[in-house]
Amino acid sequence: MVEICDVSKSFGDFRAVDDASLALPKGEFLTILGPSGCGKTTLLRMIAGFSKPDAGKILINGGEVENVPPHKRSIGMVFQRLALFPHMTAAQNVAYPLKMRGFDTKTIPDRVSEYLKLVRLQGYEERRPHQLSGGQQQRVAIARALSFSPDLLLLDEPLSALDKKLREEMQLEFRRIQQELGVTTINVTHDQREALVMSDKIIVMNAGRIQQSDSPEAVYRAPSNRFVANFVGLTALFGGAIERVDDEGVVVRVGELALRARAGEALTPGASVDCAIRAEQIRILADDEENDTGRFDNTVTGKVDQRIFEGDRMVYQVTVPKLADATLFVFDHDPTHHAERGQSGALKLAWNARDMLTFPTNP
Amino acid sequence: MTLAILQRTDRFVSVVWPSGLHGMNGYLFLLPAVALVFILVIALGYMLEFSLHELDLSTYRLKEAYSLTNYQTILDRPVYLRVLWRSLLAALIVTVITVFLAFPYAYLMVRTSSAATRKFLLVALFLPFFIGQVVRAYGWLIILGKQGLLNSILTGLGLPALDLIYNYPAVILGLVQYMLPFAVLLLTPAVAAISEDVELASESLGANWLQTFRHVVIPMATPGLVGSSVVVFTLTLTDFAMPEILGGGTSDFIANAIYDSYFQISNIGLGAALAILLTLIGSALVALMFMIAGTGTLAVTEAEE
Ligand SMILES: Nc1ncnc2c1ncn2[C@@H]1O[C@H](COP(=O)(O)OP(=O)(O)OP(=O)(O)O)[C@@H](O)[C@H]1O
Ligand SMILES: [Mg+2]
Repeated sequence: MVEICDVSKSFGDFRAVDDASLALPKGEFLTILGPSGCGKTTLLRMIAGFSKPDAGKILINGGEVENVPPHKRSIGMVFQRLALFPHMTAAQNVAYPLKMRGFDTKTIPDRVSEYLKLVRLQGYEERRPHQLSGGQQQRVAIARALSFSPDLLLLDEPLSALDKKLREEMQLEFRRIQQELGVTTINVTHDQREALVMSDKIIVMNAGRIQQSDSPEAVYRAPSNRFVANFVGLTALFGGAIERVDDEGVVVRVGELALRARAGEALTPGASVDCAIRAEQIRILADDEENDTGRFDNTVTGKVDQRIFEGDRMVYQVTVPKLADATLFVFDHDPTHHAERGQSGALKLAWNARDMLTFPTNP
Repeated sequence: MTLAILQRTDRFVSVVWPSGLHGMNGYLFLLPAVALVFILVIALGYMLEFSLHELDLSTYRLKEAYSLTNYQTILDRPVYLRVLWRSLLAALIVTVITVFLAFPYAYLMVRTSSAATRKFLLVALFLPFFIGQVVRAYGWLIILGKQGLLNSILTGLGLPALDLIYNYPAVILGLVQYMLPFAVLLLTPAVAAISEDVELASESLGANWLQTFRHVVIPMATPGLVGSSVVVFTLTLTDFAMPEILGGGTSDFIANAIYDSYFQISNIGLGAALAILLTLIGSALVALMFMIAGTGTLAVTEAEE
């Protein structure tokens, strides 16, 4: 349905999008995830036809679109700042693409109410955008982008301006609508939760380059490099060197300790690597609890530097002297321990080799 | 020493402007403007008073008795109606041409991605402000006059010289050139308030640039269009210098007629009646423009998001 081949775009000397490629089958929901300024909007604007790539090709429905102007592409777009027409009512906004695309005037009112119903905005037809709440404006923007049944829907962080609760509500709403209509969708966000919740497939971008292109689970569980591991989830990263490789995986030397990790790339002994371990993979052992049963591959003792209360859990930031003062993050879901663990300052932590990843250190 | 002065000033201020009134400090800044408007209204009152007295030709002073004779004179003498019509028509033509030319200028200045182009357009916009209206009118004389630049080029090419000056089109030309920067200046913020995303949205929704312009840009720029139209219209309607210099007596506007009644035929009453008429017609037309364009057009544009 959509195919992007080796697309690049520069502003002056600055490469905003660098050699990006992706392919999206019909009906799927793809999210491009990346930090602010990584080139997400730039890529989306090229797909929409607002700017041309410096190099590479974009194909929609198998045809190259280089010379197809935006109004001749069948693409609905919801903008980062919505871009509703302030001088038109909600219904007029939704009717606009139908009029411009020459839909039969008799069918327009029905279509408008059909799509306002889809986004649950019946009764708001005559309101102007400034008379609607942020979430309602959001819905008008979606209805407007969808009312003409485009082949492709582009979402440029339309949820980023909303508060957390409304945002999470709208994420599910977007997903429901997308599945109801089966419209191929590319969503752009810097919110990892949004990407994980909504997508069939996630592309992680950084500094104009695609880092990983995978299912949400794979992006989360098997990040392909240090950036992805760090960007998705709460991850501790620290440097080490490969000590030995055996049947069960690798052993990495970090500071005074040797840790067991999942087998990865760069397995030559002596190679320096970045180790990554997610907060939720680390267990907190009770003070008197020994790892003698061998339940865990790695145990360390550290000092709690900081406690962050997140309501349903406490996050400890723990410094481990024997790991060359590496900082680990740990979740504590048991409120009965919160007070006592914060006081004592020392924590015994343990995790398994399969949960610790290693990436070759970039030279 | 200075401290003592400061303290005394403080005490003085606290007497004339007690702290209880400090909540209204902001309004203090309005005073000069209010005073100016007030003076204008008083002057207008005097004008109205003058206009209601006929000139006594034996004493060359205004008669005591109230009468509508001056207004009757204006209506009876075709020359005044012609002047009135000429001014109104010019105001209309100049407004249409100026706004038509100013809009693309403002649009380009706001939207261009080239900093150099924007700078050039800005400088070109502000430069004329440093050159007064009279100087500019004389500039046109140099270009368009009998022995002007254009005619010497024409005669140099063996073509006959043309009468390019002292006619209505010359006045219109001068006025358009004079009004253009004002119109651009008033339109620019209106165009800048339209986010580019809205235009892109319109395009991706299926509108070509012409449709986008018609259905999105123009309606969203309406406050600016009305504002600049009103300003250009009133400035043209009341203009004096261009018809005086470029019209050379052939294309007098109301202001020229008023000037003549005051200083040529010394009929203060008639001049005042013309001035009152000009004020009335101008105000009525401006009110009409606002009414047609919808109420609140000059109010702050409704929040866009
Ligand atoms: N017209 C432009 N001229 C120059 N630089 C630009 C232009 N547009 C974008 N950039 C630069 O390109 C980079 C990518 O911009 P882009 O808008 O694609 O980021 P983004 O990933 O959408 O970020 P955000 O999440 O903040 O919206 C940024 O560093 C930005 O400064
Ligand atoms: Mg963006």
